[in-house]
Amino acid sequence: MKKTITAQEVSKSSDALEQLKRTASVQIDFSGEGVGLLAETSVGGGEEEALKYAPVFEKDLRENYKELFPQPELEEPKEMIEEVGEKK
Amino acid sequence: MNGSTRRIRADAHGKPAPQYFNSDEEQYEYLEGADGASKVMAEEGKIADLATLKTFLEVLGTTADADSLNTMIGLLKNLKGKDFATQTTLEAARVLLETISGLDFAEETTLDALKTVIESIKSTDGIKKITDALPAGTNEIGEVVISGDETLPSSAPVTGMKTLVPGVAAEVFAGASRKANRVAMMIRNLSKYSEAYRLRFGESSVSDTKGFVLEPQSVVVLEFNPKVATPIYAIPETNTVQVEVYEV
Repeated sequence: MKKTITAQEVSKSSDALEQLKRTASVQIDFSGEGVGLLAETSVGGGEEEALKYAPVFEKDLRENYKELFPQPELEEPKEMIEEVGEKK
Repeated sequence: MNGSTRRIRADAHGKPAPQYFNSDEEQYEYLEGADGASKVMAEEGKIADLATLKTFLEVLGTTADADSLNTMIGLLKNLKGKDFATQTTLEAARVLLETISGLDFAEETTLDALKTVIESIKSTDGIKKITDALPAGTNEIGEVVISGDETLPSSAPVTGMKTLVPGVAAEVFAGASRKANRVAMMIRNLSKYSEAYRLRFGESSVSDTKGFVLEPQSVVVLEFNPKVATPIYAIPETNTVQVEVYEV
C-alpha cells in the first residue's frame, strides 16, 4: 500500500481567505497488496491534518471494499481428543 | 395702248390667225395650245366663285380659327417631344425582359431545394428538429420534457461509511473518491441519540464551531450541478462520528 499526501502550497503573503480554504489531498494505492483500488480524498488544512486522517481513510476503505481484500483464513477448531481411557 | 392700234397676226396665206392681244407687250400674239385645246389663263378670283369651292372654304374657316389652330400646334409640339416606341424605349424593354427571363420563378429546381430544406429539419416521426438555441426573450415556454436531463442520475449510486475524526475537516463521499458527475448526496449521522455527537458540514474551512449542524440520526440531502465538482467537508464537534453516505 502506498500513501501519498499532497498539501496545497499557500504562501504566507496569500490572502487570509485563501489560507483558510487550503486543502491537502490524500491518495492511497492498494495495488501493492494486489488490490486494484486507488482512492483519493481531501481534507481542510495542510499536511498535518492529512497525516492525521490518512489512517482513518484507509480503515474506511478496507471496510467499505472488504470484498476486494483477501480475508484471513479462520483457523478450524481442533477436535477434542476424547481421553476416554483416562476418564474411565 | 389697246389692240386697235396694232396689226393683227396673219397665217401663211395672209388670213387672220387665232391670236390674242398681249397688253404687256402691246402687240398681238398667236394663240397657242396643246392636246386639242388652246391655253386658257383665269384671272385671280374668277374660279373661286364656284359654289362648291365657296362652301368648302366657308366650313374650313369655321373650324380652323386661330385659337383652335394654336391649340393644335401646341399639341403637335408636345407629341414631337415624346419617345413613342423608338429604338431606345424598345431596348430598355428588351433589357428588362432578359432580366426577368433569368429568374427562377418556382420552377422545379426551386421546389426541389425547398423540399430538401424541409426534409432536413423534419424527423421521421414528424417532429421538428431544432438545432439552433432558442432566442433570448420573455416568451413563456410551456411544459417541456427533456430527454437526457443531466440533473437526473445517469449511473448507479454508491453507498459507503465514513469516519470523521475531531480536528480534521474531511471530504465526504461514499466510495473511494468523490463520484464523478454526481447530482445528489445523502449523509446520515450515525451517532446514537444517547451519544448525541453532532457534526458540521460545508466548505473545506468548517470546524467544530463552524458549519451546518447535522444532529444524530439526521439525514441531509445535497443536490449538485453534475458539471461542477463540489467537494463537501464534514467534521465532528467533539467525538469521532461515523456517517452513512449515498451518492448518485
